[in-house]
Amino acid sequence: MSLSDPLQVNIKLQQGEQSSKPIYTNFTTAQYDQGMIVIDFGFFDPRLLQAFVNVPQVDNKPLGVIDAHLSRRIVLNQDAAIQLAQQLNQLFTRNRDTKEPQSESVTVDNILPSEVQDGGPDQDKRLSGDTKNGFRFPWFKKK
Amino acid sequence: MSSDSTGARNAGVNKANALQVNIRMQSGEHTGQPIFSNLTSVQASQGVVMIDFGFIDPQTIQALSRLTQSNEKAPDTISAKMSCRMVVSVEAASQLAQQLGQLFHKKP
Repeated sequence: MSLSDPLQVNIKLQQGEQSSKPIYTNFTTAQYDQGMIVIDFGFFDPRLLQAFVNVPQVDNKPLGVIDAHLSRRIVLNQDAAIQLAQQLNQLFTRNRDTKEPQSESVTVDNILPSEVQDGGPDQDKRLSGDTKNGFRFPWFKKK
Repeated sequence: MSSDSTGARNAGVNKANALQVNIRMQSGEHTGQPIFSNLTSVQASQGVVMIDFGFIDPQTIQALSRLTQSNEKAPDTISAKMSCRMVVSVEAASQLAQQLGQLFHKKP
Protein backbone atom coordinates (compact mmCIF):
# COMPACT_ATOMS: atom_id res chain seq x y z
CA MET A 1 0.00 0.00 0.00
CA SER A 2 1.43 3.34 -0.98
CA LEU A 3 0.95 6.54 0.95
CA SER A 4 -1.42 7.80 -1.70
CA ASP A 5 -3.82 4.94 -1.07
CA PRO A 6 -6.15 5.77 1.75
CA LEU A 7 -6.64 3.14 4.39
CA GLN A 8 -10.24 2.05 4.36
CA VAL A 9 -11.73 0.96 7.63
CA ASN A 10 -15.33 0.59 8.68
CA ILE A 11 -16.18 2.66 11.69
CA LYS A 12 -18.91 1.57 14.02
CA LEU A 13 -20.38 4.56 15.81
CA GLN A 14 -21.62 3.69 19.27
CA GLN A 15 -24.28 5.90 20.71
CA GLY A 16 -23.69 7.62 23.99
CA GLU A 17 -26.12 9.20 26.39
CA GLN A 18 -26.21 12.55 24.65
CA SER A 19 -26.33 11.24 21.13
CA SER A 20 -29.36 9.03 21.64
CA LYS A 21 -31.62 12.06 21.34
CA PRO A 22 -31.19 13.86 18.03
CA ILE A 23 -31.39 17.64 18.14
CA TYR A 24 -33.20 19.57 15.43
CA THR A 25 -31.65 22.83 14.28
CA ASN A 26 -32.60 25.31 11.60
CA PHE A 27 -29.54 27.47 11.32
CA THR A 28 -25.81 27.15 11.67
CA THR A 29 -22.69 29.24 11.90
CA ALA A 30 -19.10 28.18 11.37
CA GLN A 31 -15.96 29.92 12.49
CA TYR A 32 -12.26 29.21 12.48
CA ASP A 33 -10.44 29.48 15.77
CA GLN A 34 -6.89 28.42 16.60
CA GLY A 35 -6.72 25.55 14.17
CA MET A 36 -10.18 24.30 15.00
CA ILE A 37 -13.53 24.78 13.34
CA VAL A 38 -16.32 25.77 15.70
CA ILE A 39 -19.81 25.02 14.42
CA ASP A 40 -22.81 26.38 16.25
CA PHE A 41 -26.18 24.76 15.70
CA GLY A 42 -29.11 26.92 16.67
CA PHE A 43 -32.86 27.02 16.60
CA PHE A 44 -35.39 29.80 16.54
CA ASP A 45 -39.15 29.76 16.26
CA PRO A 46 -40.07 30.14 12.59
CA ARG A 47 -43.23 32.02 13.55
CA LEU A 48 -41.11 34.92 14.74
CA LEU A 49 -40.18 35.60 11.16
CA GLN A 50 -43.76 36.19 10.12
CA ALA A 51 -43.66 39.56 11.83
CA PHE A 52 -40.99 40.69 9.40
CA VAL A 53 -42.39 39.35 6.18
CA ASN A 54 -44.58 42.32 5.30
CA VAL A 55 -42.37 45.01 6.76
CA PRO A 56 -40.71 47.13 4.09
CA GLN A 57 -36.96 47.19 4.32
CA VAL A 58 -35.07 50.45 4.01
CA ASP A 59 -31.49 50.60 2.79
CA ASN A 60 -30.93 46.91 3.46
CA LYS A 61 -30.97 47.57 7.17
CA PRO A 62 -31.96 44.70 9.41
CA LEU A 63 -35.63 44.68 10.21
CA GLY A 64 -35.21 43.55 13.76
CA VAL A 65 -33.75 40.99 16.08
CA ILE A 66 -34.87 37.42 16.56
CA ASP A 67 -33.92 35.53 19.66
CA ALA A 68 -32.56 32.09 18.98
CA HIS A 69 -31.15 29.34 21.11
CA LEU A 70 -27.78 27.80 20.65
CA SER A 71 -28.49 24.09 20.67
CA ARG A 72 -25.02 22.63 20.36
CA ARG A 73 -21.52 23.87 19.80
CA ILE A 74 -19.28 21.36 18.04
CA VAL A 75 -15.54 21.75 17.72
CA LEU A 76 -13.97 19.90 14.80
CA ASN A 77 -10.38 19.49 13.83
CA GLN A 78 -9.59 20.61 10.31
CA ASP A 79 -9.59 17.13 8.82
CA ALA A 80 -13.02 16.39 10.21
CA ALA A 81 -14.35 19.75 9.03
CA ILE A 82 -13.05 19.12 5.53
CA GLN A 83 -14.60 15.68 5.66
CA LEU A 84 -17.94 17.18 6.73
CA ALA A 85 -17.84 19.75 3.94
CA GLN A 86 -17.12 17.00 1.40
CA GLN A 87 -19.92 14.83 2.74
CA LEU A 88 -22.43 17.68 2.58
CA ASN A 89 -21.31 18.66 -0.91
CA GLN A 90 -21.59 15.07 -2.08
CA LEU A 91 -25.06 14.86 -0.63
CA PHE A 92 -26.27 17.99 -2.38
CA THR A 93 -24.50 17.17 -5.62
CA ARG A 94 -26.10 13.74 -5.64
CA ASN A 95 -29.53 15.16 -4.93
CA ARG A 96 -29.12 17.86 -7.54
CA ASP A 97 -28.15 15.30 -10.14
CA THR A 98 -31.22 13.22 -9.48
CA LYS A 99 -33.60 16.16 -9.70
CA GLU A 100 -34.61 18.04 -12.78
CA PRO A 101 -32.87 21.37 -13.11
CA GLN A 102 -35.03 24.21 -11.85
CA SER A 103 -35.29 27.55 -13.50
CA GLU A 104 -33.46 30.29 -11.70
CA SER A 105 -36.00 32.67 -10.31
CA VAL A 106 -35.65 35.71 -8.17
CA THR A 107 -35.84 34.84 -4.49
CA VAL A 108 -38.21 37.58 -3.54
CA ASP A 109 -38.91 36.20 -0.14
CA ASN A 110 -35.37 35.47 0.89
CA ILE A 111 -34.79 36.45 4.45
CA LEU A 112 -31.22 36.80 5.46
CA PRO A 113 -29.82 37.43 8.89
CA SER A 114 -27.43 40.31 8.89
CA GLU A 115 -25.64 38.99 11.91
CA VAL A 116 -25.79 36.01 14.17
CA GLN A 117 -24.85 37.09 17.62
CA ASP A 118 -23.57 35.26 20.57
CA GLY A 119 -20.80 35.56 23.01
CA GLY A 120 -18.84 32.63 21.69
CA PRO A 121 -15.10 32.30 21.72
CA ASP A 122 -13.28 34.74 19.54
CA GLN A 123 -16.38 36.32 18.18
CA ASP A 124 -14.42 38.67 15.98
CA LYS A 125 -13.38 35.79 13.81
CA ARG A 126 -16.84 34.46 13.24
CA LEU A 127 -17.86 33.94 9.73
CA SER A 128 -21.13 35.74 9.91
CA GLY A 129 -19.47 38.88 8.79
CA ASP A 130 -18.57 37.34 5.52
CA THR A 131 -20.31 39.06 2.69
CA LYS A 132 -21.05 35.84 0.86
CA ASN A 133 -22.53 34.20 3.89
CA GLY A 134 -26.11 34.10 2.65
CA PHE A 135 -28.88 32.40 4.47
CA ARG A 136 -32.34 31.41 3.50
CA PHE A 137 -34.72 30.02 6.01
CA PRO A 138 -36.10 26.61 5.16
CA TRP A 139 -39.71 27.60 5.25
CA PHE A 140 -39.25 30.33 2.65
CA LYS A 141 -39.04 28.50 -0.58
CA LYS A 142 -37.89 29.87 -3.86
CA LYS A 143 -40.78 30.92 -6.03
CA MET B 1 -24.96 35.95 26.20
CA SER B 2 -25.73 38.26 23.42
CA SER B 3 -24.34 41.36 21.89
CA ASP B 4 -25.59 44.26 19.87
CA SER B 5 -26.14 44.08 16.21
CA THR B 6 -23.35 45.09 13.94
CA GLY B 7 -25.70 46.17 11.21
CA ALA B 8 -26.65 44.91 7.86
CA ARG B 9 -24.41 43.06 5.56
CA ASN B 10 -24.51 42.04 2.01
CA ALA B 11 -25.88 38.63 2.37
CA GLY B 12 -26.79 36.72 -0.61
CA VAL B 13 -27.59 35.94 -4.12
CA ASN B 14 -30.05 38.73 -4.59
CA LYS B 15 -29.26 41.61 -2.33
CA ALA B 16 -32.12 43.78 -3.50
CA ASN B 17 -34.74 41.22 -2.62
CA ALA B 18 -33.31 39.83 0.57
CA LEU B 19 -34.81 40.78 3.86
CA GLN B 20 -32.34 41.01 6.67
CA VAL B 21 -32.92 40.33 10.31
CA ASN B 22 -30.51 39.95 13.17
CA ILE B 23 -30.42 36.74 15.12
CA ARG B 24 -29.36 36.96 18.72
CA MET B 25 -28.15 33.55 19.71
CA GLN B 26 -28.45 32.69 23.36
CA SER B 27 -26.64 29.86 25.01
CA GLY B 28 -28.69 26.92 26.17
CA GLU B 29 -28.22 24.29 28.81
CA HIS B 30 -25.98 22.02 26.85
CA THR B 31 -23.94 24.58 25.02
CA GLY B 32 -21.63 25.75 27.74
CA GLN B 33 -19.36 22.84 27.06
CA PRO B 34 -18.44 22.47 23.40
CA ILE B 35 -18.22 18.94 22.06
CA PHE B 36 -15.03 17.94 20.31
CA SER B 37 -15.34 15.64 17.34
CA ASN B 38 -12.89 14.20 14.83
CA LEU B 39 -15.31 12.14 12.80
CA THR B 40 -18.48 13.02 10.96
CA SER B 41 -21.16 11.14 9.09
CA VAL B 42 -23.86 12.69 6.94
CA GLN B 43 -27.04 11.11 5.69
CA ALA B 44 -30.24 12.45 4.18
CA SER B 45 -33.55 11.36 5.60
CA GLN B 46 -37.11 12.53 4.96
CA GLY B 47 -36.45 16.15 4.20
CA VAL B 48 -33.74 16.62 6.79
CA VAL B 49 -30.04 15.92 6.98
CA MET B 50 -28.69 13.93 9.88
CA ILE B 51 -25.16 14.76 10.90
CA ASP B 52 -23.45 12.46 13.35
CA PHE B 53 -20.40 13.74 15.17
CA GLY B 54 -18.15 11.07 16.58
CA PHE B 55 -14.84 10.65 18.26
CA ILE B 56 -12.09 8.15 17.56
CA ASP B 57 -9.23 7.83 19.97
CA PRO B 58 -6.21 9.29 18.18
CA GLN B 59 -4.14 6.40 19.49
CA THR B 60 -6.35 4.05 17.52
CA ILE B 61 -5.63 6.03 14.38
CA GLN B 62 -1.89 5.92 15.08
CA ALA B 63 -2.07 2.18 15.70
CA LEU B 64 -3.84 1.72 12.37
CA SER B 65 -1.21 3.81 10.69
CA ARG B 66 1.56 1.69 12.19
CA LEU B 67 -0.14 -1.52 11.08
CA THR B 68 -0.42 -0.19 7.58
CA GLN B 69 3.19 0.88 7.42
CA SER B 70 4.37 -2.52 8.59
CA ASN B 71 2.12 -4.21 6.00
CA GLU B 72 0.10 -5.93 8.66
CA LYS B 73 -3.58 -6.47 8.29
CA ALA B 74 -5.67 -3.69 9.74
CA PRO B 75 -8.98 -4.56 11.39
CA ASP B 76 -12.01 -4.27 9.19
CA THR B 77 -14.01 -2.34 11.72
CA ILE B 78 -13.07 -0.02 14.54
CA SER B 79 -15.38 1.49 17.12
CA ALA B 80 -15.97 5.14 17.74
CA LYS B 81 -18.17 7.02 20.15
CA MET B 82 -20.97 9.10 18.75
CA SER B 83 -20.79 12.45 20.48
CA CYS B 84 -23.85 14.08 19.10
CA ARG B 85 -26.51 13.64 16.42
CA MET B 86 -27.87 16.78 14.82
CA VAL B 87 -30.93 16.83 12.61
CA VAL B 88 -30.55 19.81 10.31
CA SER B 89 -33.08 21.16 7.86
CA VAL B 90 -31.97 20.72 4.26
CA GLU B 91 -31.45 24.40 3.70
CA ALA B 92 -29.56 24.89 6.92
CA ALA B 93 -27.34 21.98 5.91
CA SER B 94 -26.80 23.62 2.54
CA GLN B 95 -25.92 26.80 4.37
CA LEU B 96 -23.46 24.90 6.53
CA ALA B 97 -21.78 23.46 3.44
CA GLN B 98 -21.43 26.98 2.04
CA GLN B 99 -20.07 28.31 5.31
CA LEU B 100 -17.45 25.57 5.50
CA GLY B 101 -16.52 26.12 1.87
CA GLN B 102 -16.06 29.82 2.49
CA LEU B 103 -14.10 29.09 5.61
CA PHE B 104 -11.57 26.91 3.83
CA HIS B 105 -11.43 29.33 0.95
CA LYS B 106 -10.78 32.26 3.26
CA LYS B 107 -8.49 30.59 5.77
CA PRO B 108 -4.80 31.34 5.12
